[in-house]
Amino acid sequence: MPYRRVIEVTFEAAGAGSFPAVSICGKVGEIMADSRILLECREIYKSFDKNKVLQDINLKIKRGEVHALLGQNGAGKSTLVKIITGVYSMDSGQILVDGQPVKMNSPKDSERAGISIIHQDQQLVPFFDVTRNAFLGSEMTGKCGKLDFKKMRSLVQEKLKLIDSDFTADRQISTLSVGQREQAAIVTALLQNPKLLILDEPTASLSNREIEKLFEVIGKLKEEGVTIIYISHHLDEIFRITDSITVLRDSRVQGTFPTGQTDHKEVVSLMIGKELKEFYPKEEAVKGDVVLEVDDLYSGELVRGVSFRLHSGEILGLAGLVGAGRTETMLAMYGVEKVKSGSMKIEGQPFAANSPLQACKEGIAFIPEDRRNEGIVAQMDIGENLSLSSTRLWAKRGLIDRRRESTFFEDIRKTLNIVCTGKKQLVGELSGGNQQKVVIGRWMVGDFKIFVFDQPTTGVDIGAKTEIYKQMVSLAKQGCGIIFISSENEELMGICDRIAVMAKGRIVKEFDAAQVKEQDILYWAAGGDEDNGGKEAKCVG
Amino acid sequence: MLDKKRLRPAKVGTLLLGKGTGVGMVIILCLLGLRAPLFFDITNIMTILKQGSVLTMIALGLTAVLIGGGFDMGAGALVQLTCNLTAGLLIAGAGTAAALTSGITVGIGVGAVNAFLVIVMKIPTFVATLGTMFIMQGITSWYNGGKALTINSIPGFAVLGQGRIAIIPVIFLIVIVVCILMNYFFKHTKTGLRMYASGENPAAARLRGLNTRRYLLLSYVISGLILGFTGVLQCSYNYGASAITSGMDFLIQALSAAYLGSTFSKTGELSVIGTVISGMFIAALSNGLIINGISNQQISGVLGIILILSILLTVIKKREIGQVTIF
Repeated sequence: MPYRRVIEVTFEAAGAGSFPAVSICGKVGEIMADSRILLECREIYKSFDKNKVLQDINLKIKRGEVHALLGQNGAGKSTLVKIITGVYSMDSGQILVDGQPVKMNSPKDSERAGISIIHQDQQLVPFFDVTRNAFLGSEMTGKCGKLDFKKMRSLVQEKLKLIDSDFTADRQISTLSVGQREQAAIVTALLQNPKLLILDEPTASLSNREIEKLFEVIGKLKEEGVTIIYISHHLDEIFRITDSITVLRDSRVQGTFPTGQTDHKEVVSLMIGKELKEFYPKEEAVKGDVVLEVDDLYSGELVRGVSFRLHSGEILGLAGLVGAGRTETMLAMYGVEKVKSGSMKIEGQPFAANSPLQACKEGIAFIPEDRRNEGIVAQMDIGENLSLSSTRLWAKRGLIDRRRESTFFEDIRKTLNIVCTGKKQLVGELSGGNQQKVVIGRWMVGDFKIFVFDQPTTGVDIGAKTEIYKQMVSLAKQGCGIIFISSENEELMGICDRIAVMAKGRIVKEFDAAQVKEQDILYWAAGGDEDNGGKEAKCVG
Repeated sequence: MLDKKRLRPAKVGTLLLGKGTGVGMVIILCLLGLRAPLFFDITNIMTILKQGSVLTMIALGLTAVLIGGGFDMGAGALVQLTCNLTAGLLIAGAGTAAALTSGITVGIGVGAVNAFLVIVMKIPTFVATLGTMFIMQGITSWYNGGKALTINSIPGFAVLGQGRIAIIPVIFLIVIVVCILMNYFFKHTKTGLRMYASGENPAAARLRGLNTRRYLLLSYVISGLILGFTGVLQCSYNYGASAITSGMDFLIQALSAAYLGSTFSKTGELSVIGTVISGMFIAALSNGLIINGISNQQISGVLGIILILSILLTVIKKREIGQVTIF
C-alpha cells in the first residue's frame, strides 16, 4: 500500500538547508487538531525483569516535524524506539498512527504503518552496490524470478536524486565514505515511502562536512513531508535542526517543548534531574607532586591534542560523551594504541609505552571499560585472575607460588570485600560488581602509581559502586594518582577532585569538582563554545 | 575527490591487486608455454580442460557453501564417496540413471547433515564438516573394501566423463552449463542475492528480516547436490573409483580455486565464474609443470603455496574494506 504524503501541511521554504526554528505545524486551519498528530504513544510501560525501563510514556509526534528525542544513556530512548519499531513489545500502552491504534508485534508491522528506522551502526553488505543493498529483503523480480535490476536501480536513483547524493545507484558500498553510506541507508529507508523516519544517533561517526550534508538531506526530506524523529546527544545539532524536543530521564518523559521556546540550560537540567541519589565516600587526600604529565597527545582519529596533569593523591575525572576520545587517550597512554605525537612524563621522567607490559612496569594500572572482554578471564578462578597482572611477583623461577597467591587473595578479598565462595570460584560465576572488584584487586598487589578506571561502575549495583569509590579514595590516600572516566557526571562530581571535560578528542574545559554544576559539564561535553560558556559561567556565578 | 584517492600509492597497489590475478595467471601460463611449446597445443589444451573439470566442479560446490557463509572440509571425501557408490552400483548392474540419482541423493543428504550440525547443533563449520569428512572416509573404505572399483566402459555412462563433442570434452561442457546456471542463480535471483548477503554480512541480512539459517541450509544442500553429481562424473572420467578415500588433494585444490577466484573482484567477492577460471588455471598449472619436468609429488607443494597465496590475497582485500576474517 503506497503512502500518500499529507498535502494539507505547507512549509515555509526558508531557503535550502535552513530550518525554521519555530513549530511549523500551525497552518493547518480547519483540519481537526488530532489529524496533525502522526504518531502518538499513550501510557507506554515496559520493564525488563524488575528493571522499569519505560513508565507512563506519552509522546505526540506532529506531522512533518523534526522531533528530537533527548536523554542520557539509559534514559530509555532506545527502548522506546525499539517499541515504536516493533522490535520489543510493550507491557502496556497504546501506539496510534494517524489516530488509529496500531499493533506493533514485529518490525514488519511498523514498516507497514509507514515507520522506518536508520540504525546507529549501518549494516550494509560491502560488496553489494547501493541498489542491491537498498532492496535486500524486498527485491523486485521480473520474468522467471530474474531480478529486475533496471527497475530497482531507477527507483534508487530517484531517491538518490531526491536527497541530492553525489554517487550513483551502482556504486559498491565498500567504495563509499561513511557519510555516503549513511545516505545509502537513508535511501534504503526511503524506498518504503515512510511517513516517519527515525534517525538513531546518525552523526556519531560522521565528520563535520558529512554532518552538514546530512542536515541538508534532513531538510530535503522535511520538504517532502517526511516526519523525522532525531535521536542525538549533541545539543547543538538538536537546536539547529529540530522543531520540538522531548526529554527522557529515568524512564519517564520529562516534557516536550517547541525547540524555539527552550534553551540548552533548561533541556540539560531536565536531562539530569536535580538530586544526588547516591552516597559518595569522598575524603580529602594530600595532594603531592605531579605524577603524570601528558602534553599534546595525538593518537588515531579520536585523540587530537590532549594535555593534562595528574597529581599524587588526586582523583581526576574525565567527562565527555561517547566518542569524545577518553578511552582512546588512555589506551594510547597505556601503549595499546599508537601515539602519533605528544609527550608523556611519569614523575618527571619522559616515558613512552610501546606495550601494556611496559606501561605496567612504569607503574600504570588500567581497569578497562569492557570488563567481560578485556578485564577478566571468566573461565579461570579468582586466584588465577588476581595474579594475571603480577605473576612476575608471585612466581618463583617461572612457577606460580600458590601459597603466596593465597595470602594475597585473602588480603585483597578483605580490603575489597569480594563476595565469593573462595579462591577457586570461577570469576564468570560472580556478580558484575564482584567481577569488577576482582579486576581492581588484580592491580592492588603491584607497585602502581597511576590508576586508570575506565567506566568501572557500569552494570554494577549501588552497593558495589560505593565499594569501588571507597577503593579509589583509599588509593588516592596512599598517594596514587587516579584517572576516573565516567559518563555519569554525578559520580564524577561526587568522587573527583578535578573534572576535565573532553569533546572531539581534546580536553575542552577543566573544573574544580566541588564547584562545578552538572549543566556546565554537559554543556561543554556536548560541544559548547567559549563565548556562551563564559556567559553561562557568569550567570551561575 | 575520487581521482585523488586513486592516485595515492596504496590505491595503486590495490588496483594492481585487483587486476593482478588475471595478469599473473596469463604470465605464469605463458612462461610455462615458452619452456615447453607442447603446452599450447590444442590437444593439450583440451586435455587440460578435461583434467580440470572434476576439480572445477568440486570448487563450484565449495563456492556455493562459502557464498552462504559456511565451510566444507569434506568436499573431497564426499566426491570420493559418491564416486565409489556409483562404481559399485554400476558393477552390480545398475543403469546410468540409477547411478546418477543415487549419487546426487547421497550428496544432498550429506549436505543436509552438515547443515543440521552447523545450524541446529551449532557446531563450528570447520569441526562439523571435518567430522563428517572422517565418517565419509570410513564409509567409503568399508564400501570398497580398500580396493579400487573398476568399471567397464558403459556407452551411455562413459560419455559423461570421456565423451567429446567435436573436439571439446563433454565433461567440460557440463562444467560450463553448471557455471552458467549457478551464476544466474547467485547473481540474478532473489534467493541467490540473499544467500550472498547472509554469507557476507549476516547481521545486515537479519536486520532486513532475512532468515540467514535458511540460506545457509540451502547453500549446503546446493553444494551437496553438485558434489554428489561430481562423484558420478569422476567415476565416469576415471573408469571407476580409486581406493583413496580422503579426497584431501581435491579439497586443497578446490579451496585454492574458490579463493583464487574471489581475488578477481576488487572486494574479494566469491564468484562462480572466477572459480571456474581459477580451477582451470590450477589444472593448467599442474599440467604445465609436469610438461616442464616437475614431478607429481612436488606439485602438491606448489598447490599448497597457491592456496596460501590466494587466501592471503582475499584477506588483504577484505581488510581493505574493513573486514578482518574470511571464515
